[in-house]
Amino acid sequence: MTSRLKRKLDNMGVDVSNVTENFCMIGTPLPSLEKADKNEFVPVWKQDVRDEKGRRRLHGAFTGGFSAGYFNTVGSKEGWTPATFVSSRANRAGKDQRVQRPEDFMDEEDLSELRADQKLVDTTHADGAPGDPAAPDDANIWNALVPSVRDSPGAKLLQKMGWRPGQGVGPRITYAKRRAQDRIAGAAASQEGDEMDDEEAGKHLYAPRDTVAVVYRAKEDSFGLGYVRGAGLREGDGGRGKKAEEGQAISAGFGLGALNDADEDDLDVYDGSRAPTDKRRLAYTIDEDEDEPVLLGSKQAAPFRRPAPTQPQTVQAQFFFPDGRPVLQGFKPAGAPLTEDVWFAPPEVPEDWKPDPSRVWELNGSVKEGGVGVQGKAVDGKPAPLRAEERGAMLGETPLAPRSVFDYLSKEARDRLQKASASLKPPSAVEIKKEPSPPPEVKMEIPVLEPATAAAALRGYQPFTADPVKQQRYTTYLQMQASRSELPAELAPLPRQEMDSFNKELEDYAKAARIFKPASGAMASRFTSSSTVEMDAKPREGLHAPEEQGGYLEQKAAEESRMEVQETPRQHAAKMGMFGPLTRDVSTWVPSKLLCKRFGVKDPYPDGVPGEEKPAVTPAWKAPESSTASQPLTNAVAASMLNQDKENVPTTKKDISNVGLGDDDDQGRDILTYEKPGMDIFKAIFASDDEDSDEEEEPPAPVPAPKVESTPLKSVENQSAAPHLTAESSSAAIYNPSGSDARQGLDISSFRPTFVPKTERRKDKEADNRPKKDKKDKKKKDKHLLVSFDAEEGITVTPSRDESSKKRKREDKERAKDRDRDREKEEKRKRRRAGEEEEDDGMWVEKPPPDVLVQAAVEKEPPSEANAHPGRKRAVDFF
Amino acid sequence: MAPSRGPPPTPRYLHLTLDSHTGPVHVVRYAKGAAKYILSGGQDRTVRLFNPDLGTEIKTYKGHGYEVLSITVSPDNSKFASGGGDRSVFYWDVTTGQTIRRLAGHIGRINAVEFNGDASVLASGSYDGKVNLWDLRAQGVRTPIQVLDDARDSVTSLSVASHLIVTGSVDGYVRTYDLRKGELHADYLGYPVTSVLPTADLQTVLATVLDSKVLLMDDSVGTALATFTGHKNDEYKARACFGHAEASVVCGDEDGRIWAWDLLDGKPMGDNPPPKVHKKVITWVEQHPVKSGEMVSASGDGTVKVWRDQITKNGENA
Repeated sequence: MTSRLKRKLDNMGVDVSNVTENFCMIGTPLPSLEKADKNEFVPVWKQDVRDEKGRRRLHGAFTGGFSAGYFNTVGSKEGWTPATFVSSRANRAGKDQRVQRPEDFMDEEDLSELRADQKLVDTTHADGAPGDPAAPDDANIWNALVPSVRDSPGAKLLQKMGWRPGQGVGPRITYAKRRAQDRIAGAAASQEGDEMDDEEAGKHLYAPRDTVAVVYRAKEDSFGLGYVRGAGLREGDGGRGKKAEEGQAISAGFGLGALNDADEDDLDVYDGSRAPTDKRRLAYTIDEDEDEPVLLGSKQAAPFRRPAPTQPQTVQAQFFFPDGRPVLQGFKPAGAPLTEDVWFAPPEVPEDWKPDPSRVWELNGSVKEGGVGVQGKAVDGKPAPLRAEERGAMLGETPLAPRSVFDYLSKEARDRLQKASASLKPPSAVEIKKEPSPPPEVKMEIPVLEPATAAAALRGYQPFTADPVKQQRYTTYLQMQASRSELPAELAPLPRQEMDSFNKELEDYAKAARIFKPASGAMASRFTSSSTVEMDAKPREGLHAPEEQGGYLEQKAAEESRMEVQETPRQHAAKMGMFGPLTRDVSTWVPSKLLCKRFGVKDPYPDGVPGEEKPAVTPAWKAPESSTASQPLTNAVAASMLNQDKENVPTTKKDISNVGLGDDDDQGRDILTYEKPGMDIFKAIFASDDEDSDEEEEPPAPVPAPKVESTPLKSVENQSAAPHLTAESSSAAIYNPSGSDARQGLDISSFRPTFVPKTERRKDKEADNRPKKDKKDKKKKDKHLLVSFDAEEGITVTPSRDESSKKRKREDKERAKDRDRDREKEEKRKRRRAGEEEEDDGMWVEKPPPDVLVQAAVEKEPPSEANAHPGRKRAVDFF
Repeated sequence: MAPSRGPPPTPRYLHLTLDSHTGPVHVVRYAKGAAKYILSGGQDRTVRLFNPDLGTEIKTYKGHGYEVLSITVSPDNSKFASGGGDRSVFYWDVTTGQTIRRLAGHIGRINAVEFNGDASVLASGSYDGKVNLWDLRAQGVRTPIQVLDDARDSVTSLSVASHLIVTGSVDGYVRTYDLRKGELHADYLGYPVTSVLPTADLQTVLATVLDSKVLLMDDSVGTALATFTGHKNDEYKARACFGHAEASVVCGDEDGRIWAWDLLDGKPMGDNPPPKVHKKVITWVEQHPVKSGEMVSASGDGTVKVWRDQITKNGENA
C-alpha cells in the first residue's frame, strides 16, 4: 500500500490503520517503472559516471575502480588545495631529495608482477623437472619433452604398479645387476653402493636404475660435423676462471680474511647481480647441481655443497716464459698451443689494373640511360626487386585488361589533354636518340619510346581515331617503337610535309603514347568509365570567361526552371505566393500537461492523445458518483468502496502499461486524472449532523474569515434559505453548499470549510430564529464525542483529551444507547481530527449533512458497516 | 491620432546612438511595462542595459562565451534570458548581473529565446532544429518540459503568446503550436523564415522570409493577408515588428534602411526607399511597447539607434 493511497484515505476519513490490504496478491510488488525520473535529484555521490556505451566508468574502491579526487571532482571538499611554493634555493637537489625507487616508475602491472615475484613458491614439485628458467638447456629441453612426471597418466599408472619416482622402470633386479647398471651409467652415482654391505645387499631385489635421458644439443654453429672449435684466447683458461667466478659471491664484510675459507654464512645471499634475469630470489637454489645428468624423477638428495674454495691468490706460482722471462703477475703461460685463426691473403691486384666501373657495367650489360632492358639485374649484380608485372608474368598471370586513365575520359577531354600535351615543351634530350641519317637540312628526329610503353599505348586508347591517316601513322610509329625496328616506309614524311613538321608529328605521337599509356592493372581497377558526356564541344584555352550572350543569367534562369519542374506543388504555391491550404499542414500536437498548466491553458487532451489507445483504467475513486450516488457517504461507505476497489483490481487488464506499477495500478495517473470525490464524502467528513450548523456555511470565498466577519447579514440570509434547499439537494444527492443559489452547481474546486470565529458563531446563532439548539447543540457535540469515545472503547484507542469529561461520559452512556450508534461512530472519526480545532477560540465549522442525508445514512448503515469491519465484533455488538 | 488618418508615423528622428558594443549587435529589446530600458546583445558576447532616453549604459552582463543572439525579458523586469552561440540559455538576474540558471540542452547555437506570459516557461529555439520549453518554476529540473522537434532545420525565431508558440525555421515553415486546441499549423513559406511575430489578437503572424518579403499570415487558414516588399533581405536575419498599435509593419533591411509599411494597404510609408540610417544590415527593430513615438534598431555596424518621432535635443547633438 503506497503512502499516497494512505494519505488519500486518511484525508477521506478512513482509518488507515484498519486498511492494511495489499493489492498485490502474490509476491513482492515491483517498484514502479516510472520511478526513474530524470529530473529527480540525485546526490553527487549517487551519480555514476558512464561512458558513451552506458558502462560505468568509475567504480567504488571495492569494485576495482578508482574515484578521482573528491567524488570525482576535486581534491578535497573545498577544492584543489594549491601547493605552497617552496623555494629550492636553500634546498638543493640531493640534500633533502626523495630517493627515487624503481617502484616509483612502475605502473600497476609492473607492481603486481613484482609482488607476484616476491611470493613464496612451492618447490616440492620442482624435482625432476626443475622449473628454473635459468636452468641449463638440458633441463629446458627436458621440460619441453616430458611435461611433468607427477601428474601424467603414465606416471600414475606406474605408481600404481609400484614404481616410485627416482626408480627405473622394469622388474626388480638383484644388487649385482644394479651394480652393473651403475657401471654402464658411469661412476656418477656409484659411491653409495660401495659403502653398502655386499652380503646384506645381495639378499634384496632392487629397483633398476633410472635410465639417463639422453639430451642432444642442438647444433647452433655453422661448423662442420664433428668439428670442435679451437680454444680461443678467451676460452683457454677463461672458461675455468669464469666458472670459479660464478661461485657464490662472498659478502664483503668484516672478519673474512683472504686466507679464510668462505663459509656459507659469509655468502652474500642478497647479491642480486648473479642472476639478473631471475626475478625470484630464493634463500636456496632450486637446482644446485647443474652438471648432474637429468634423471627421470631423480630423487637424489642434493646436499648443500660448500662452494668450491677459492684459489688462494697469494699462493701463486711464479711462471716463466720459455725464454726465461717471468710471466706477469696474475698470468700464466698456456699449456696447450693456441690454434690460430686462419687468415687468407687478399688476391693480388694486377699491376695494370685501373678502376673502370663502366667496364663492369658493360659486363653486366644493362645499365643504359632510360633503363631499357634492365630487368631483374642491377649494377651490383644483385637481382633488382621484381616489378609487379614481371612477377605476374613469372607466375603466369594473365595481365589485367590494360586500361588507361584516358579510357575513362570523354573524347573532348582527351582532345583537350592532347592539345595541352602538344603545347608542352619536349622532354629532356635524354630520350631523343640521334638518327644516323639526317635528311637534307633538318634532321629527321624520331623520338624514342620504351618498347613497353609503345606496346601499351598500342593496346590503349587511340587518340587519333578522328583522322584515319594520322591514326595509321601513329600506330605505325608505335609498332616501330615497340619492335625497335627501323623507320618503316609508311611513316615517311608525307608528300608535302616539311621535315620539322614531321619531327613535330612524331614527337606528338610519342607524347600521346606516353600520355595514353594505359594505367597499370592495379590502378586501372580503381577507375570506372565516366557515364556523362561533356557537352562542352570546344574547349577554350586560358581562363574561363563567361559567355557573351548573358550566359550566367540565362543559366540561372534555366536552372530555376529546371528546379521548378522538380518542385512540389507546395513549393510552387509558396513561390507564387498562393499561401493557403496547399501550403499548410495541420496536425495534432499534444502539449505536455505541465506545459498547459504553466501556460494556464486547459489541457486539450485530458484523456490522452486521440490517436493513441490507452488502456481502460478503472479510476479508483470514481466510484462514489456512479455506484453510490444516492447513498449517503459515510466512512463505512468509503471503506466499502475500498473493498470494491479491491475487487476491481484483479479485473483490470494487466498489460505493459500497468505492469510493474506494484500495488498501485494508478500510480501517477490518479494525479493526472484525479477527480474530486463526491460531495458526500466531504459532507461525511466535515459536516456535523446538526441541522442548524449548516447555516454557518458560507459560499466558498477565497478569503473566508474576514468575509464572514464583514457579512453577518449574508450568513443570516443564507441560513434562512438553507434548510429546504439542502433538503432538496440532498434528495437529489447533490450537495450544495451555497444555499442562496440553488441552481448553481457546486464548485468543487473552491469548496472548503469556512473558518468562523467563535464569537461570530454565537452571534449567528442568536440571529437564528430557531434558538432551541444554541446551547444544547454545543453540549451535544461534546456528548457525541464522548459517546463515540465510549462506544469504541477498547477497539480503537482514542486519546482522551479531556479528563473532566469522564463524569459526563458516564451519564452519556445511558443516553448513548438510544442514540443512533452509527452516526456516532462517524462522528467519532470526525471529532478525532476536528478535536484540536474545537478547543481553539475560533473553529472550523463543519457543514452538517442535511436531514435526508443523515436519514439515508441511518438506513444504509448496516451493510456498509459490515463492509467496514468484516468479521470483526465491536463493542456495540455485545450490548 | 484618428484612425482615419492612417497609422502613426514611424519614428524617424534619431534620438541616440548607442555604440558601446564592439561588433555587430544582434538583438535589442525593450523592457516590459513602461519599457524605460533596453537590453542589447551582440557579437561581443555581452548583454548591455541602456537607458534609451539618456543614452547611459547601466550595466553590462558578461557571461556568454559566444555571441548573444536573442534576449527576452520577464514581465516583471527582474529577470531576463539570453541565448547565443554557447548552446545554453542564460537566465539572468537583472540587478545582480548574475546568471541564475543556465539551461543546457541544445546541441547548436540558440537563435531565439522567449518567455511565456508569466515567465514560468522559457522557449528556446536552436540551430539544432528544436524548440525546448523549459520550466523555470521547478527547481533543479534539468530537462525541458517538452521539446518541439518538428522543424527540419535551424529554428531562427520564436514567439510565445498566451496560448500560442510560433516558430520560424530555415526549412521555410512557420509553425504555430496551439496549446488550447492541441494543434500544430505548419505553413510553408518557401524561403527561410527569419522572424515571426503574432499580432496581439493572435489571428495573424508577421513573418520575415529571406525572399525580401515580410508576410502577414492568417493563422486560421494559412493565407497571406499582406505582403510587404521593397526592402532587401535575402541573407541575414532581419527582424520585423509591428509599429505602434499594430498599424504598421517595420523592418530593417540589409542596406541599413528601416522600412515601414502600412499594415492595411501594404504600401511603404514615408520615403521610398527610406534613407539609409545604418552602415550595415539592420538585425533588429523594435517598437516601443507603449510609446508610439519611439523605436530602437540594432545593426551589424555595432550600433543601437533610438528613434523618436520628433527631433530631440539629443538627436540634434548626434
